[in-house]
Amino acid sequence: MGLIRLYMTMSLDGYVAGPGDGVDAPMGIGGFRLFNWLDRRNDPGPNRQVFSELMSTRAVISGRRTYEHAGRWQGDHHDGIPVFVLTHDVPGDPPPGSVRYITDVDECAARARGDGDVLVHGQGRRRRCCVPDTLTNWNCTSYRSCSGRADGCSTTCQRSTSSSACSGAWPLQGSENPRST
Amino acid sequence: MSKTVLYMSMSVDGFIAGPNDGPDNGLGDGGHRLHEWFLPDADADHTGAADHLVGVNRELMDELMATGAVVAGRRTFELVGGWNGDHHDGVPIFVLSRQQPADRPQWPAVRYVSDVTRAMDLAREAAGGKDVLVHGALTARLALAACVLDELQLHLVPVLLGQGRPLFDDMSPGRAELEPLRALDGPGVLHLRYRVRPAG
Repeated sequence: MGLIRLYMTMSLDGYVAGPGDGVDAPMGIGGFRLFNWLDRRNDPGPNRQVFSELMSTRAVISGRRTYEHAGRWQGDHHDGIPVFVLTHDVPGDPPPGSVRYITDVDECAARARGDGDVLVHGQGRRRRCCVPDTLTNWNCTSYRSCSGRADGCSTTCQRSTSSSACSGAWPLQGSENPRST
Repeated sequence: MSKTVLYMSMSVDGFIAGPNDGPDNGLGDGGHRLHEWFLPDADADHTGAADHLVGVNRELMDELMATGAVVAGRRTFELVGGWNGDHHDGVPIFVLSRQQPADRPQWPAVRYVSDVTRAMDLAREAAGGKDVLVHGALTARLALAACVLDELQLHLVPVLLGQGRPLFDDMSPGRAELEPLRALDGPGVLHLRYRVRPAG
């Protein structure tokens, strides 16, 4: 079974966007610096390897905020694979392309999971505890999960091998979870 | 010429200590996890810590122990009992502190300095051509802000502490480019080295 994996470009001090980010400035002030490496995503070596892995995923899970900031990927993230957007507030207009809106995090994970790996987009700042199976950090060292909104919840999840420790967590599979040891 | 190098173990979410760190709990709750790569028994006493290390981890510890002077923040210095006045090999220790403590032990290798640039200058002079080991998150941030930190040697530990004391906290706004120098994959830890590029 495929894994649910967060792909995230991050600065060494843990930021995934600059200050003042919003729909008009999706990466915030100076934040596009983080994506410089994508200019060389097709060069032989680690950049191409990681980018090809990303493009080989067979479903996408995204937060609503990331989705809107990215212009909804015009309905197609890559290869027309299903895009599951987590949102509390389903938009009134029909979703574009291969996008589906989901309000429940467990349902989202269950529907996205299949034979291939699942690409997770977004830091889940306003979510409950969004813990994917694996983290692939680019460019970087650190990943600030759940940004404090989850309070004690995130800590519990990351040390647990069970999804029951934290309601709203992605299903964690003990044998697949690299942080379970 | 001597370089000033921060050596720091950090979690993937950027913490260098767990929550509730203080005098009797130097690394905070759960923070010993960050030092397991060189102290498997979570012993706070660093003496002889490197003896059991092999491979890349040993290499890193040997580099650290080959530095010719130490600059430490007062908080870090006091949390570790001032290393009893000897961090390693009796090299000079410069403690960054706004005030001279009134009742400090009289350790010959230890000197208190109130200005980070002055501390780094003194340490470079004293290091005899070797590098300067920088200890402490606040000291590192002050040195970064004053453009007197040459390199970051981070030991990235594959754990999310969730909360605690972040290394890069309360930073001044603005971007600081780093030049990746080295990434060494050691048992239980990834050693990342960066050169801090001069401002301007």
